[in-house]
Amino acid sequence: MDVTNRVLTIEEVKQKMKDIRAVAVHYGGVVHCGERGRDELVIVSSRRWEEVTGAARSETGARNPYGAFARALESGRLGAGGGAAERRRRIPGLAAESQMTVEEMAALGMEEERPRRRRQEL
Amino acid sequence: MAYDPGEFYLTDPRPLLTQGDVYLAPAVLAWSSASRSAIPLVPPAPGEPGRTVFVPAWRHEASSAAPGVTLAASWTPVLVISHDCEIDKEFNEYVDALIREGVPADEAEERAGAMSELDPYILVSPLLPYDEQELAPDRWEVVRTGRKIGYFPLPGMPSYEDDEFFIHLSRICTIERRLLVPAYKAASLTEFGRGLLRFKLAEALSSRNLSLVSKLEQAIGHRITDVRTLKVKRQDATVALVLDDGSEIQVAVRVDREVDVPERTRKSGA
Repeated sequence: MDVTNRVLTIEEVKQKMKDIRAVAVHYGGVVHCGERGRDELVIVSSRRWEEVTGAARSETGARNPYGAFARALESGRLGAGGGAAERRRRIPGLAAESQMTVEEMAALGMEEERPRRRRQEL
Repeated sequence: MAYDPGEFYLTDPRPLLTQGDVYLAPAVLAWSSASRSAIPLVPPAPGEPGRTVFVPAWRHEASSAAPGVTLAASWTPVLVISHDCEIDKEFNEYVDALIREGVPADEAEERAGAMSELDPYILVSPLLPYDEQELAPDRWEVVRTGRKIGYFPLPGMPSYEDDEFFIHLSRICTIERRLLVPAYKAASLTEFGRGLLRFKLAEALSSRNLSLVSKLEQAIGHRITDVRTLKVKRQDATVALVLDDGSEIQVAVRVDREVDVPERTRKSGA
């Protein structure tokens, strides 16, 4: 195998990608090249790709517990109308500071119960 | 105790971003890469709600002091956890300051409303299904009935095929406000639902004392609205519990000698 660092022509790269994809598909894999400018070519199995993208759940035929939301999206009940931000809630004179002392706060917040057992930190 | 969904959800979602709203939005969880690995690749955006993708937070080398981190990012229904006052606190402070400078109220609100850097952080928590991958089945009923500390039950949503969910209060995360898009708001809790949420938050995240107050209130059949120290003398103190009907109950307390209780006497109003 020629491992010298030579510049490949675009045609050579395209052909090599076809070859790689053919091999990947033959072995049940998927090929993704990542973003333009990245220096990595990552080849993963279909199973790993499903784990990464969370596609596994639907592929097994399991019921999607969020299906109602998906159907709401499809019908336009959710998501239609764009992304305009909600207006703010006006509360004149909203208290931004506590009137209690730190000692008073700590006294109110002190735990009466302590856990019986604590896990050792890993 | 069974919840009536009619007690829990408003017919129409609230118009403002409010504690107890349900949105379709991102949620994020950080894992150690020793627990969850991820390939260094940006996956496509989830095609439907409920998907979770795993991506490395950064390139981790053996010599790195920082740990390897895998981010689990979901596009999922989330419950807004932040209190209403917290949601717009900086906005209101800014408006109040502008008004004090002489800016008309309408203009002050418009100027502050356009500042996206005010109150950017909103706490949310993903809605989780009653699924053995999320929660052991022998815990479903105690969570569903609101008795499990650390969990908040969401009964079936009438507008969403009556599917039930729950919130794990340790899964709360912070997202930017602009990720909560009005067009993706699915539901809003009633004041009953919001009251239960606030109690469960306090119970799980701040004070077990809350449950003691609740026990006391149950015992006397009234809500305690104020507590006053009437008299403290050596080891004994008298405390007045002011109740929601205006009456008071005086309680004699034997004080621990080690505790430094301020000496104060006050005439009882009872």
